[in-house]
Amino acid sequence: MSKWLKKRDIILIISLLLVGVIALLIWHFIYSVDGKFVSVEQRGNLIGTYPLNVDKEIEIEHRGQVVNKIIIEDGYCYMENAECPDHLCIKQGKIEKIGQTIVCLPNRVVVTVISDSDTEYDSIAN
Amino acid sequence: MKKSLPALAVFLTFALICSYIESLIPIPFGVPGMKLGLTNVVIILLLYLFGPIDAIVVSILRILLIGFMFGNIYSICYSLAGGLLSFVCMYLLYRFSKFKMITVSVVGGFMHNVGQLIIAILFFENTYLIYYLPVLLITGVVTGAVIGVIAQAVYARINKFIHKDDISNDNIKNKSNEELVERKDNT
Repeated sequence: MSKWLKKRDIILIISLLLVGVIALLIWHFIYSVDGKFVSVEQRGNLIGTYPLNVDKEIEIEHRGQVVNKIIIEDGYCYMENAECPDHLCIKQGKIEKIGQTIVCLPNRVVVTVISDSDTEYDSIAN
Repeated sequence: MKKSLPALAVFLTFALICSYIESLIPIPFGVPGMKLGLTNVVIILLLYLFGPIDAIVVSILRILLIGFMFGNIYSICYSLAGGLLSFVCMYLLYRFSKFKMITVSVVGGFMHNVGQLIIAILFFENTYLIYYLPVLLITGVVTGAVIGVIAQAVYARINKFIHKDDISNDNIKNKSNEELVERKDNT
């Protein structure tokens, strides 16, 4: 193994890993607040913001077809249905904390949990 | 096996197969853009065996071909951003430092994910996507290490093979020359 990895290699790899772990800890601290609203965006346009405490079904349409179906239920928000090949957005599961997102890359739909319906993204700094 | 167009074509095919195999492996977690990066084995091997120009050409061709076959314009953009950023960083490390291949691969995996996330943020105009940064950084390091070990193991074998090939070619040439000389002597 020493032929493949010298001391400086191990130091660099571990420091890169540490950057990730520290970022994870900081992120965990930032994103640990329960959100009150979700904002839904499609192709850079805001579709709307919806309160998390009211159960609701949101259908996203593109060219007359329903491409994504988002469910708000019991304070959680999740993607129930998606017209895309990989269904990664459904696997992303339920979200409730501020800053958590569900992303559907093929349909370019982003669902984000936010603190207030009218504040901008800077609210993360609070 | 010397540096030649057929050799590069073989490597490009190898890269395409790796991409295809990777698309068959399901991703266990719902983090967009997370994958093993198997094709980076090919790119690293090319960088070490044939140099940076061949590596970047094969890398870009691979991304375009896979994009046209299985993806769309967006997936090509994501791959290009990640691929180019990681390649530049890997090349700089390879050229100007004494870091080993595994470390070069780790940095490549790390920067690949950073590049993809930057493009995703630009596309969606949604800075909240930075939520995925820590997970992507850690997976980049881990997958980069796995890829680096594979590349190192393959490189050790291929390099030996190339050496043996060159030596045996020289031997054959020398032998045939000697034989010719002997024959001439005989006649």
